[in-house]
Amino acid sequence: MDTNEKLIEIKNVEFLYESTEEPGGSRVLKDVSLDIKKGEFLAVLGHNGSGKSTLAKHLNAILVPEKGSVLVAGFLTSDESLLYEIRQRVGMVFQNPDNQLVATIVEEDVAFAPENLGVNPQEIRERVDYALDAVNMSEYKEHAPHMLSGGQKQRIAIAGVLAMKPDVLVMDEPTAMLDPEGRREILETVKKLNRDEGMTVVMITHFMEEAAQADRVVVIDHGKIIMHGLPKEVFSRVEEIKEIGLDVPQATELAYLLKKEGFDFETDILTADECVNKILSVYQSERGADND
Amino acid sequence: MIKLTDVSYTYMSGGPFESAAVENVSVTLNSGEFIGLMGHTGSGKSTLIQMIAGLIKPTSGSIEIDGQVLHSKNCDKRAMRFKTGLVMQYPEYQLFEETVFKDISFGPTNMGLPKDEIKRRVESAANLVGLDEDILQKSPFELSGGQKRRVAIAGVLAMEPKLLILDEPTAGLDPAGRDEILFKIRDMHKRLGITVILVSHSMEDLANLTQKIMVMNHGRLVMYDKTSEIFKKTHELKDLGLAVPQITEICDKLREKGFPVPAGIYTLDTAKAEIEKVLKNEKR
Amino acid sequence: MLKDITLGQYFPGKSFIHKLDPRTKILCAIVYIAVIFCIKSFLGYFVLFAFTALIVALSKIPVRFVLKGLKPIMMFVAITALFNLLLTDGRILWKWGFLKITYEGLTQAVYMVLRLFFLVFGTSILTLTTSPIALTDGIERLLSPLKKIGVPAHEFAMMMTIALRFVPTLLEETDKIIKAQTARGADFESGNIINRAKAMVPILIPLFISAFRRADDLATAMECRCYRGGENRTRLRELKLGYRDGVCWFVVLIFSALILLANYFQVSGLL
Repeated sequence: MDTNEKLIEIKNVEFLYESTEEPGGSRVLKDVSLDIKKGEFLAVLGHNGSGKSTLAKHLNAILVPEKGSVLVAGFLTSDESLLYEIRQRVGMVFQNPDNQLVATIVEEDVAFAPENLGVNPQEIRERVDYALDAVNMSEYKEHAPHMLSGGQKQRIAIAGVLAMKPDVLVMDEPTAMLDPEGRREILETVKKLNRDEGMTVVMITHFMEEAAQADRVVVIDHGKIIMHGLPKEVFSRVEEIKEIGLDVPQATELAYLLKKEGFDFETDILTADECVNKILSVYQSERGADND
Repeated sequence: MIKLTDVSYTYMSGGPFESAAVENVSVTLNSGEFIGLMGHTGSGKSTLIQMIAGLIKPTSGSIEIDGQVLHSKNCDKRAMRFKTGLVMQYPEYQLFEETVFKDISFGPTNMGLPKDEIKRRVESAANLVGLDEDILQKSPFELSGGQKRRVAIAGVLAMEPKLLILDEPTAGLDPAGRDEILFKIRDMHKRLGITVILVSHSMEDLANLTQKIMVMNHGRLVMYDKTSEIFKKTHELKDLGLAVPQITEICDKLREKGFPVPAGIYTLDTAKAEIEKVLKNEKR
Repeated sequence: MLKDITLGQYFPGKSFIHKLDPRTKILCAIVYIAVIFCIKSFLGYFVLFAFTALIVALSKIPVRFVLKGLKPIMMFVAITALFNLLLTDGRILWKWGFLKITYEGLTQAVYMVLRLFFLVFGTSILTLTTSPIALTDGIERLLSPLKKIGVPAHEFAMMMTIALRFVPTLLEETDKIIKAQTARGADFESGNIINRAKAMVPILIPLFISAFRRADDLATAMECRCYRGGENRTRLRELKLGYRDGVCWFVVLIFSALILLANYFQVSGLL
């Protein structure tokens, strides 16, 4: 996070549409404003149907706001002539890795986007090699995608958008269909990209473990941003988080339960180690009080 | 009672690409228990449950369910199939009927039950998974993800199996949807007294629900014990690349640093109670 | 497992034949097939056999892989041969009741078998040495002159690529749905044709729904990766004709000429 430069500006966005494929709820956004800064790792947390995917689709002009505006690197998403300018700056990865791979060979799939952009073959080769290396999948470049594990397929999908050289990587529940190992692979890949390549990341998820790793968390519910801050700040509001049907880490919840019993606990705890240290310090101070 | 004796399954048996999915599994599961099954993707879990459900035949070994040996000469394959209900991963993808009612009744209809019995079973299954009656006449395709999942589970429950196997029933659901399904499964186990095998990657879910846990690794059954005993083996689980619930990790670390909490804590409530006890003792 | 089926039976390698431009290979395969049907002498088949053996040797593909392609058509070949053998009029060699074998029938039958065998060899070598992607690329490029008269060459190639990509996925899915419905007591094995057809409904409906969902997802994902049809599209691998293709064409034409010449010799009564 070298600068505070705004990469994406979402201003008072309103959106309302009835989804036909996923009934049981309209997908709405109500007066959503949010800035995404260059180089940050932002998590958008919310339950299914909260509007978080609708928000994601606004970031690369798959959807355009009914009211308000979305600016990507200064380009207005509602301007159709800028569509491809915007889409190659915002790389989008979706939930089901199977349904976003196009080609029967890994490197051909990664090449798909630069091919569409008319990049010359030599540079496509460079971009493909770079992207596969960035997700640590170079050795699989000649494999068939259907023989790979879920986590590997999803990494290929990430490489496929990295090959566009985007400014920001937007991922819509990229781990929802993966096993714990796949989930770990994706999270590590994303963190590495963010840290080493300075890639701006927007991760939409309902897993609190993932949101806890981000620089900043936005919680969305019924189409509204209801919480906003550092993971510690957000998760310390245990009751509110639970009320909207989301989880907090067990470490946070334990601290919260002990605090409720009257012990001197702060709930800005995310990891097992933080929790252990806190309990031990309370234990020691109680002992110390005993000895007096 | 389910008794597996030396059960193995080999893919492409005899060929050059032969690979063992399950190797020499012997285990006895008692009726009425809630059993967890954990292991990596590819550890043989799915193959094992598909064999128990009678969908694939073991390459060697035998599976005995309530005294009947599966695939033996005098075993009625279809009758056995109705004794075990298998809910596969993402079961909502198998829905196909016009109405929820018709879809749930697919199993009972295949069993050749009379109409009023089918109706009774559909309604009771829908009730068990917490579906409202007015949903029964809707198309399953206009429901939300969580509701579809429950319709699919009801479709298996309506066959009133003695053994219910659930393969990752909460995959892809958000925490609220997950908790709702797990609550219904726990409730169902209590009310029906049937045997349940829950396959899950979530240590927290297994810790909260199961009485016993089987752990698979590379096609072999490497652990089978009471849940509390399994979560005492933190190191062994970690060696297998499996995690323990965060709460168990916290308690283990506390104990290492001389904080007197017992081993094998795997639920938040016990952890809280134990830690509270220690801290209150010190206060006094 | 269904998943392990290799599509288009591509046998990866780096041989001379593998490295040829797919366009060369497709066109040569067409020439090869045309030549098969022009042969009218055993000498011609002998030359064709020599040529085919040379290609197989150059491609470094184990012979059994090439022969494997014959398996599914053996029954068809046998029946065709039998018909030709028994139903052709001419000089009678053997007769029993209404059954007769003639000299012409025998020659016909042997020609027929040879033709079908070489047909399979030719197409097998093409698909064994050319990856599905290269094959699609080749077809797209060969058809591209027809774009001017409205032939959607790019769209056709894209469709083929996507189909190839999704066949294993859908097979796997079918396997899962069959298992799930079997677990609910669906019976696919007993009953008459109508009942069996009805039994397919619980498989086909979920399969269709899933295929449409996937198509929808894929379309969005492709849009997000700036797909806008074939206009101004570049390729990672540009197809380039090299010296190999020249050599290949030269050899193919020489052999074709030799084979057709063999026909002429037969007419002259040399064989």
